[in-house]
Amino acid sequence: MMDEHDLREMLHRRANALGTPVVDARKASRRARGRLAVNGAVAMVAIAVIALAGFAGVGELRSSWVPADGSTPSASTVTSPTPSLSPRVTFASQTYGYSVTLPKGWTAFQASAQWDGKGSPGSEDVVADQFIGLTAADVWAFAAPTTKSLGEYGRATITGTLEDHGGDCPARPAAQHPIQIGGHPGMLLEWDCGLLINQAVAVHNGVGYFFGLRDPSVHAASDARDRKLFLRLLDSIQFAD
Amino acid sequence: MSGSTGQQAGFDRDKLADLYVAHAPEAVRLAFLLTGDAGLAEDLVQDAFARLVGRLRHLRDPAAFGAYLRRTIVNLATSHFRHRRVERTYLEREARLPQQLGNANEALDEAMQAILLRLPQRQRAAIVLRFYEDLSDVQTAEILQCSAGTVRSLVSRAMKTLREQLEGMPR
Repeated sequence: MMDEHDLREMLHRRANALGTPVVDARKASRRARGRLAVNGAVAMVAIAVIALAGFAGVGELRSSWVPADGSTPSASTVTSPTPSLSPRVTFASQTYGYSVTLPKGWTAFQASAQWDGKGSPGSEDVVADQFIGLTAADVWAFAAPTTKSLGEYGRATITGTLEDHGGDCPARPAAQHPIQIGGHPGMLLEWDCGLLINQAVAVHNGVGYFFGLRDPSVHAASDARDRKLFLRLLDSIQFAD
Repeated sequence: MSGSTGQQAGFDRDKLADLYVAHAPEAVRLAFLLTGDAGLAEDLVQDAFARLVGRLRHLRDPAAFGAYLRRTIVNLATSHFRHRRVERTYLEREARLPQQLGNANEALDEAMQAILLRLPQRQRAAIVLRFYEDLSDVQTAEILQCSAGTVRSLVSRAMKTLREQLEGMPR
């Protein structure tokens, strides 16, 4: 009968069969810099669009976001091609069309594939836009066309969560709250899946949007600091029309 | 401002290159055990580094880089298979037992890896992290973002499957 020792030995033999992988640090560096540059360029385009919209009087697109450090927000400071060096960054999702204003020091990553509307992708999934801050928490987002109402979409989100994470999450969220996402009705679902998971969903113009906050440092369904951060991010959302 | 930014960027590039050289070989092996494909493994590792580079300056504990890297690789491997919809086809191909077997040990290794690659992704990740990376239940749980109890359950289910499917194989 196979035991843990056999398994351990097999894994090491298979891994060692690879030999010493040749690593090309320059290639990895180029790829990493390219990723940052792409995200930075998208941020700059978003700023340009927002500035043009403001000049044209299309609407009040600037959010009321105030950075966590209390400094005065200034759109003109967002000029660096490296998002995480900018005091404020407005991120425009290439895949899903919404925009969100991120606080100082946050870094954003564009999704590299489109969500098919199934399951509940995690924060580092290729279909998720990902936002990384300065604390343990990170935020992710994705969207897909839907014919569901907000209530139905919320229930579908719970079902998808249980399908993908049923082993870790309880049978239902600890709490559900009506909230506003970018000035539109939304729903907040609070889970304790061994770590804090907060999900915010909205349906706008036939598109269902998902925003998630994950905090592995909190073993509860809610946390005042995380909730405040999440609600402020959600308040800055601008949906695609 | 721009000067310090440039210095910071240069520092990060150097730091990234150093970290890549230090961590990439072992990271590729981990990704290989999770995917069964050396080329894909290297690709996932490079993607993981690209994702982590934005975090370098925020990393409070540089010694934690390896843990961040492992977590990212596990998540990327999961994501790759789930969303490219190639897992079933790919794993079925990989899972075919070799037509011409070498020695018995090699055949057993290949059979074990084939079964490993057919396991649900989280069970496979739990097995590789526990028995290849030699992480504890708690460390594995941190990477898989679940409880230590869930890790024990994942490992137990995976071991049961491995034993059942290896039954009858020549030893």
